[in-house]
Amino acid sequence: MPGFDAELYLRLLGEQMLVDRDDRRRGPHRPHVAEAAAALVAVAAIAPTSAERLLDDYSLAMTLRNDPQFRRHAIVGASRPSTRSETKPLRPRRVVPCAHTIEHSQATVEVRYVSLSEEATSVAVTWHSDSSRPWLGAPPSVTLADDRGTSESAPFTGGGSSTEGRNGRLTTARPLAADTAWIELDGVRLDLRGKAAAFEASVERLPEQDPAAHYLWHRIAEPGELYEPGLEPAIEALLAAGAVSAGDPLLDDVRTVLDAMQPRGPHGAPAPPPGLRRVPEPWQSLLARQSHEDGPAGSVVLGAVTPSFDGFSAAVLELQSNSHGFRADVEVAPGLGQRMPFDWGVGPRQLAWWARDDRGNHYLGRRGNWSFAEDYGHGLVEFLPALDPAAARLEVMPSAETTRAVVSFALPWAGDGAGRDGSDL
Amino acid sequence: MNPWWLGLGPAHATVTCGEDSHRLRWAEGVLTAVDHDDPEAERALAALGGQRCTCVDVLDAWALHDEDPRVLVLASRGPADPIAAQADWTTQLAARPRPRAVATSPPARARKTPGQLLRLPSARRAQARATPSGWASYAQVIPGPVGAMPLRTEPQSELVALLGLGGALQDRLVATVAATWARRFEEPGPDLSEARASLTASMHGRLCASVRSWLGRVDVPVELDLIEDRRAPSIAEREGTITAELPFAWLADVWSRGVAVVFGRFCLAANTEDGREWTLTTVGPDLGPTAPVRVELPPA
Repeated sequence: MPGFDAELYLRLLGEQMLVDRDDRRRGPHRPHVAEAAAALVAVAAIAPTSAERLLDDYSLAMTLRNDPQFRRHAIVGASRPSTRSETKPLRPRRVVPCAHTIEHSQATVEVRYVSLSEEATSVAVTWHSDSSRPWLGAPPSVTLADDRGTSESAPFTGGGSSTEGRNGRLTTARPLAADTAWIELDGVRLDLRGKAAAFEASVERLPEQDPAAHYLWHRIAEPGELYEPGLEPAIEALLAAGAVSAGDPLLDDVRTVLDAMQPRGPHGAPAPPPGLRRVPEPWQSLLARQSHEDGPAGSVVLGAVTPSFDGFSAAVLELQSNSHGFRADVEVAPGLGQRMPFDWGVGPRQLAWWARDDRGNHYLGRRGNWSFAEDYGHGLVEFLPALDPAAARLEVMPSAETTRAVVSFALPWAGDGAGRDGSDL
Repeated sequence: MNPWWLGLGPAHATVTCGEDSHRLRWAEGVLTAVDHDDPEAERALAALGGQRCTCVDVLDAWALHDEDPRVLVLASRGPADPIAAQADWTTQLAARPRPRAVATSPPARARKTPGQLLRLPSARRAQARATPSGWASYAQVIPGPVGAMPLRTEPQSELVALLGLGGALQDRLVATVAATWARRFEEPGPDLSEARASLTASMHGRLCASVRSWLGRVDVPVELDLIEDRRAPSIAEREGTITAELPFAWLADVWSRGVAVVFGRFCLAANTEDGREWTLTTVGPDLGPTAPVRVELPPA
């Protein structure tokens, strides 16, 4: 990019922000300078360290103007990673489907599966509070016990509403026996004789792509942030750097997809705008089913753990489908990947959660309830649009910069309808 | 050559030092702790575990950052861009680690000739400029008054403390940094290459704020073309954009002295022979030909 001074370009954006007092309008949203910096880093127009340094400068400049107690800096400082190289990949574990309903003293607890590993034992539950006693706090800790006589307390992590139930996990600090024949939840015994569905997990290299195109598409596909992607500052920066030309059809495609992806409906699934121009796959097939609400109801417990890809590893433990979409209960290492409010940093970028079925449809996941630490994260990834009811097989594909993992499995309700209500899983 | 601080009057600030209120005074390019006879001794005591002295900490921070381009990034762009210093930001200095007992004596004020820019040993300056690797910092949370929440890096804490001093000391720090780099623009070296983008942008922001305020056109695009000192400065409007051709010295000579706009005219250059009588090269809001404005300051 001869003749383009990326640092000066970005610093002038920073100056514009200060002079216009733009940050006050944007609140915790990332300012234009941060969006532009991330794009220029992606096309190697500026080194990440240089970009971070100037963003730090302007972030502090805004803090001095708007936040004299430095609370924003405290939020961001607490959320930033120290290093990613120390993360241990996720390891295979025993995951047992365990459809069971327990009448607890304070709620009805719907048990979905049990995960037993060398590190921890967790029980995936949906917690339905007693409607006569609306329950305001977090679900209480329970006691889990195994067939060796070991018992551990297991606090709840997760989230949701009191009307739809709280999805989450009861996890012990120390593991119970991984080969236990049963587990007791506050004295209620759950037999662990079921078997998770078969799956194949592999890693594949992503197709080579122009860096600017790769950045823009990945940016749209990144799971939900605490802000909406602001792609125009990124596009302007890429144009200024000569990384993309003004007449490039890529820009029309990106803008078309971004507009079509804006949540409009009650379930966040917009109807495709009339006269939608064709866009490249996987976006074309994704947008084509946007308004469908014909997804099958059912669930499948997998316990799939992927090999490492681009320094990540992921586990897909369960998939639940309904008429509006489907969601996967996943784990990721490392766990970071959600920027906090006021964090203007350019990295690390997140996994994009794609899925595709055997009928050529594509689906994109957004993060739902999510818990994370530096080296580990888990929660729900909510996919849209609704699963094609005729699909017999699905591939869930957490995608990083250069590679993606592929977890492939049969949908149990295909053909004979088994598993539609999840009761026989 | 005139001292760079001509036309900049003395400035004072008060800080809480221990349990007392102490005065800091800037005059003729030098910051001094008025209520401390022997800052060197207090610095040595603090390094050995004695009570920290805020005044000395401020002197040290000033010496570390009086040529730091980040000062120009962080500080105000003008009256319309105030810094929200509602708290005593010198508490940031207390959040830093103690100076090492073996540390070199940083601000050798006694050896500084008035009017000269202080130079620290190069290693300390390099340390002050260095970008920290990763996000590690002395993240000890200190409960206490507002403004005490520690920042990520020691240089950030020092800069924040300096910019919160009040009493026009922030303006004097900006003037000091601007003057340093104005001289370096005359004799470009590796330092300038590294800092050029930051300095150019910082000047552009101040120019933009000044021009928009001057013309009362809040959204007018403003472009800056940095020129060498020997070329004549100018300002003009081309296709709706205000374009100024100015040397970096404009920031030190004009903006830092608070004369970017005088009598409704935009000042392109400020010259003096004796520090009292000034000739300002100005342009009216019609962006017509330049005209001099002569100003005489009262005796010091």
